[in-house]
Amino acid sequence: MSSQIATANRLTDGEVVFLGPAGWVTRIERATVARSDSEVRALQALLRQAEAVNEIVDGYLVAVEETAAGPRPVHYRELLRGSGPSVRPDLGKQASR
Amino acid sequence: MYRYDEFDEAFVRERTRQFRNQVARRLRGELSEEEFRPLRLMNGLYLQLHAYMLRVAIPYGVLSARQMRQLAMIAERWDKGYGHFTTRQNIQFNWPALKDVPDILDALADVEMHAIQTSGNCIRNVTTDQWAGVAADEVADPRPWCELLRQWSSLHPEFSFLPRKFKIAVTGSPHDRAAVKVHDIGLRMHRDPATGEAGFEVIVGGGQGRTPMIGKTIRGFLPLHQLLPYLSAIMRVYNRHGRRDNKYKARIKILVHELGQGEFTREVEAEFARDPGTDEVYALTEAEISRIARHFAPPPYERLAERHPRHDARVFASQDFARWVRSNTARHKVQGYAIVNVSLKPTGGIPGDADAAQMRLLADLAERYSHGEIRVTHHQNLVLPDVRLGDLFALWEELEPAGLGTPNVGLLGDIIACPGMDYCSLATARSIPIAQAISRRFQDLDRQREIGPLEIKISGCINACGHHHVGHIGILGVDKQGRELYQVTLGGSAAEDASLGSIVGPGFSADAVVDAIETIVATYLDQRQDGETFLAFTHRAGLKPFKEALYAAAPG
Amino acid sequence: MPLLRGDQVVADERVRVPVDAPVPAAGPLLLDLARLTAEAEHLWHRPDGVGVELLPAQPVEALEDWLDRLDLVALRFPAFTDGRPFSSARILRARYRFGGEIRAVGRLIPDQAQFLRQCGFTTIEVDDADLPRWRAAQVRMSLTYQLGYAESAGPPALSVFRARHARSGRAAA
Repeated sequence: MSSQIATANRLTDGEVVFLGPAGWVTRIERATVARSDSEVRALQALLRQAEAVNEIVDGYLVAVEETAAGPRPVHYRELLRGSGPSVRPDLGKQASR
Repeated sequence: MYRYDEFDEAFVRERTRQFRNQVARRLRGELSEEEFRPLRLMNGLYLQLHAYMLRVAIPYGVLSARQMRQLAMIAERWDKGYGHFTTRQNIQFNWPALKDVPDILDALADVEMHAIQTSGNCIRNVTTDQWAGVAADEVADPRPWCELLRQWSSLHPEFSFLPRKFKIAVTGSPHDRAAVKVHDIGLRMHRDPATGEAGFEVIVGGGQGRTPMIGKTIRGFLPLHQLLPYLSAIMRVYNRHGRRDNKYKARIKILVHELGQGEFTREVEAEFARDPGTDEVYALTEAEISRIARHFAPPPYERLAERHPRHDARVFASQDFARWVRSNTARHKVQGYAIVNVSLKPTGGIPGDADAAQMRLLADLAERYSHGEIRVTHHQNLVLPDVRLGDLFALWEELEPAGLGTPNVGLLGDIIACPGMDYCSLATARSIPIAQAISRRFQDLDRQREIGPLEIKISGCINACGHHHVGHIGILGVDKQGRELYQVTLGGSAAEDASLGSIVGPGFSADAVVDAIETIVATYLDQRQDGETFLAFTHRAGLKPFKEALYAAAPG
Repeated sequence: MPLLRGDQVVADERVRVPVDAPVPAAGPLLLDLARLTAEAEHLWHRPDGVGVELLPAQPVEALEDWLDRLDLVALRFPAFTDGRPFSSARILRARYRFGGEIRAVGRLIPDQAQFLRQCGFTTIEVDDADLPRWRAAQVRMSLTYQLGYAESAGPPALSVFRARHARSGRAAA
């Protein structure tokens, strides 16, 4: 199976967030990577729990490949979500990178 | 333009308070996301790829200078300094925080604006001809009827949980600039040839998306005062019988298609006969329409000569100005005035985007040159509807340096593009970069002029917010095994000759699609007859010459 | 389950009759359409009320012959986003002039309360646990742009069109 991370939008402001070891973070590099079925199930459980307490909305898992710079989504949609609009490099997460 | 009275004002304030309460309950966890979603959508709030997105209603595309300034303020205070004008004549902000949205709505209410029903499975913001009231070819002014429909459809108790979204467009001109044949309901105002009485042709079941269809006329002539009961009959038939088992078959076009035009018409007429409206409804409709129509009385036009010598001289002297006058101004119904189309499509720009400084400038220019009014077009451009010929040069001199004077309205560079995957969570591919690349490739304005009228429309998914089905050239971005692929359709039109484009052949990668457009344009230029537009050529010649040019060189 | 009638909470006194059970001799009833159709002739002598529950796909027109003898029509919402019962209620009130109770049952959210009343519903079935949430959510609109959607409980929303007309009439007089 491919490695997975958990992502969602933060309820209060909609910011794209990723589940890290100590909670939800805005940087994909700090996301916890699940590499086995049991790790994926654990991520999923944390995701549902965070939804239940209304911390995040629309959470799901994303397939990633692991690079030296951290997890990198396989699909271009998730790459855009992790960085910002490709047509406005001055906006979104990419702007402060 | 329409101004709120104390009732409209109180209504929007109450609605804003109600939504503030809903947001607060969501933030406290008293509403689940599943429960909140339809409530927030009904008030224009989406959750998109990067953030929330708030779509603000610009009823039938009419804005005052004061409202435009407030939009600029909102863009700077709560967003990232810009807004995006949409193919529904609205504006959307791409980065608001949920917790700020109630304050944004208060700021909108301060200038008689709201976000009511800009999304959700309800009757959406009514759209019309951006030249309503000033077009030289207009039969009747659709704006009072649009305003009546805005009010009638707002928080409708019976029709707020429809099977799917519902879009109504109205045109008052024979030349359809409102795309009424690709709406759930299209209303075309015309006059009974025998009596001269004005009425509506009622067209139902048009639409784009996954299953594009041209609307069917179910009533050739509906007397004006019967509009609300007749629309209620249509809505009721749809609310009861529209499909709810499959989201992709839930639009009214599918109901019309599955029942057949004849049976659907009979159902509506039977419902209308059972509930044809009361004398009170007719009387109030008439009273309301005359009250509303007073807001749309023509501004105090000056008596001007048909030509303005200094204007003529400037056209003669400046090629750039002449080019702009040719493409971006249109004939006004009043002698000595022009309709000015402000292009939001600078070469390589993002179609429909305007930053706060541009919004403020447009507000100033509207006050100085156009009775303080601005229109939004479904082509994602803006309009200053009432400019004296003698003011055109001064206006152009201010638009040009602000990036608002690109002389490409109606030409190849005037591309419609949905936000696509750069912003939208439904998208399957990006749209904006394709629009930018095409506009750069064809940036030579004389070449665009030589090509003539050509509408390119790009959608980043099958939902077709970028109207690709009705583009002369339509481009649809899809995801093919994790890569963006672009399907090209030819021969679509959203005007009175409405037609759906045909897919020319296998799709193109993002890198190849601009070359494909180049080939398509070259084929047309090579083979067109005298004065034949691109659309006319595709309808005459079909796909064959394009297929040959695009695919013949490929092996196999 | 309790019922909301306006702001009041009232008990549901209807007897729902299971599919194979006989209709009890006394007490107000709530039957499904099949049962009503099958046993209609035996029901009308009862001193207590007879009600029927319709699913959204069952047209209210099916009740045409019985409406003057029914005192309750319950309309079921399988999902709160399924808006069909709004039209059913409206037709019962406006076309058939049905004067009995119209009850909303099934999945609803508090934010729909006013729309329900405007379409002619008089009662809403609400889970006990949900009652506080329904009370907290009542931010009413005092104005409405539609005609013929008077609220069936509580103070009606003011019809904007009528109010304007009345004012302009006064101005003219």
